[in-house]
Amino acid sequence: MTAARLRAAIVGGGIAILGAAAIAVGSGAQAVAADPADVGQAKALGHIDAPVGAGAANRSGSARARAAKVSGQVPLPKGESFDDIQWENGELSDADIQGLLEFNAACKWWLADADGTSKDAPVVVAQIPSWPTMREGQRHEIAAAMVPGGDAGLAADTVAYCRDSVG
Amino acid sequence: MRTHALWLRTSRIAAAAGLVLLAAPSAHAAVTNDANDFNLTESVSIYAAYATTQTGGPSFRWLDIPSKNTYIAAGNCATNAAPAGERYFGAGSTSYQNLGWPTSSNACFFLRGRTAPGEGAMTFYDGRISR
Repeated sequence: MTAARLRAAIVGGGIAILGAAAIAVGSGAQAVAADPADVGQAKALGHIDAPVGAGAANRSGSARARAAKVSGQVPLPKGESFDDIQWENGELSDADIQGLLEFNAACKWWLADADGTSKDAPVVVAQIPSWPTMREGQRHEIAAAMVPGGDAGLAADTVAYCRDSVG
Repeated sequence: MRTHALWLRTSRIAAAAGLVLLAAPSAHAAVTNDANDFNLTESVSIYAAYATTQTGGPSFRWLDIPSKNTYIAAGNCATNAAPAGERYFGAGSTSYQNLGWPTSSNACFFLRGRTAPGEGAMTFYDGRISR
């Protein structure tokens, strides 16, 4: 059970916060201070349109350079970066780049939430299903599963996947 | 009379249970998606993201008989790595091949592919992913 799911099982906001703190202490993880900027960025990203049409198919210029231009819109937990994305592995469109940035960041937020290492994580995780490339299809199903009340089995599998991929 | 009524009730319950069993899809049935117009060039390009519905790894096949040699792989949605490498599909082959990753269920992967070096682009060919 993830920290988010355990918190959802505890009724009441105050108790939920205490529960999250207890999990963080119990697991030896250290929660860092909440950063309003991360939360605001996560919400703002939910209002940006996904790359579509000609822009989505654009492959001109290096993927790394194009990613650098848009990566600032995608929040990451403190101390994390996008350095583990293999930008040179293939001919990436703008849509591919946006998708990679968002899924990479999402994985890191889901792990931060599961491990209780960021106070922002529960709020950011709740925003992820509205991010441009997470709004539809199977990526949306995965993102929705990570919100309290979502599919517990899918959530557990996703945490394991993220730990294996970026953890 | 009571015995007959009990037998009837039991029969109905058994019949209903049987119908439910018949109606329920197999828990391990693979889900397939057609990759229409999976357009390839000599550089790797991504078609779409999927999630596995079973263990053992997704498989891919061409539905249209491919005119060129191609390489297909499953990519990691978070890092763009291709952990199991590429699978070679010879021109003319429409057989399924397991892509080797991800082997767990509910795992996100990109369907990605390219044509063999020197063969140019192959466009408007349809494939199928079994996941």
